[in-house]
Amino acid sequence: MKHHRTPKELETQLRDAASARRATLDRLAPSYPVGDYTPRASDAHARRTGPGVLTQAIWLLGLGGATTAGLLGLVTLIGLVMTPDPGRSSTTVAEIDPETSEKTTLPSVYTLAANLGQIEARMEQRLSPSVNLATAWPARLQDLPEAFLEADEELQKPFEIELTAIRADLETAARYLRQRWTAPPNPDPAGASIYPELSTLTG
Amino acid sequence: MTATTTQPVWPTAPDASTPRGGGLRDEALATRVQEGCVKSYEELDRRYRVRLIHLLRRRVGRESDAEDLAQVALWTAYEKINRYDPRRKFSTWLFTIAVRKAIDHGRANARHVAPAGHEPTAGGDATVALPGRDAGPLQRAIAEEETGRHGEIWRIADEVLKPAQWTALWLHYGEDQSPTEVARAMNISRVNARVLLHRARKTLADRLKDTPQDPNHAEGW
Repeated sequence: MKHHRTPKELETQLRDAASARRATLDRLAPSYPVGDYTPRASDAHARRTGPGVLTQAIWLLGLGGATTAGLLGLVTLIGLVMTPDPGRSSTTVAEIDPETSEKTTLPSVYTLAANLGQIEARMEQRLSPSVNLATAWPARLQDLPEAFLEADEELQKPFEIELTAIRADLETAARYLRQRWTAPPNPDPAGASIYPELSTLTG
Repeated sequence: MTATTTQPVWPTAPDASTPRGGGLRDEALATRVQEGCVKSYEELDRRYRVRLIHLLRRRVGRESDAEDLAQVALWTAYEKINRYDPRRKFSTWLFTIAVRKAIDHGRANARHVAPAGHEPTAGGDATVALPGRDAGPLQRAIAEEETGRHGEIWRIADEVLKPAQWTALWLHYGEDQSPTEVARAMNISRVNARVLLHRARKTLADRLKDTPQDPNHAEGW
């Protein structure tokens, strides 16, 4: 008699057949020789001094190296960006400025940040939020090592994300300020600061 | 509670990790092996060697190759026993090793062992589809069993299921592995394991609908 099995019937048939097959395997099992296993004498020694300790040491060395590299990167970045050089245009602004002709006439971000209040008073308005964000970057950089160390995986990710955000803020701030920047008509030939009071910024 | 209700129920052996003749559970033996007891591993070898050969023969084709691979899997498990977590089934861990050895073997020898009509396909089936009928002791015993009323369905499974489907089906029904454990043993996702089981059952049901129903089974339905 032909019969279309329901899922439950098929399930039952599979279990019964599997049980019968397992019984066959159990009957056969004693006829197979057992492998010749030697004591693993090195196990206890390995547990005491081997892979576990070695792995921990490598992990700690790796973490230490990554942390050092990250901090060195931060120090380098801070050094590049924060170098006070009021007699010249900002390296950072120059670097992010695609218009090289303006490099020598712009105040540094450091100078702008230090005088933000004065700038806003002269312009009689609050500056773009991007400028505020950009001037807050030293504090944000200080938070980076903590985020860096907290990340168990993808160690570089928070670092790179924050750097990208800071760079974007700086670019936006520089673009905003540049739009309002007018070069002084008669630069001081003696080389004195060309923006002692930031008088050339216009609102 | 839900775990116990979803587990396959064995009519004769509710807990597959406990030998049918009694004795320590597999997990307890494995813990002893981790502490250095060789005899405990010999007992595990006795319990699992033929089961591994049975599982592997479907993937490698020749029973002699399956015997070699079972030996390799058992040796690997012995060497790596400290990596075994006793909170999990020993059988799942051992089958994981065995299946990976079979996949490696299949990749290396697919062209050599694949018979015509069963060339490698994607998705873990890069091995032969049918076990060879060259008669080792296991194949002879299976052939004898297949003449009985319970043997037919696994004979048909041998014929119509792809190796991955057959492996999932046997691990679930024959080795009491949950779909999650099947997935772990086969190194696939749980969804993939469930799909394999579903397709295997569907293929079997389609094939079986044209065959006479065993009256002994039909009585209860």
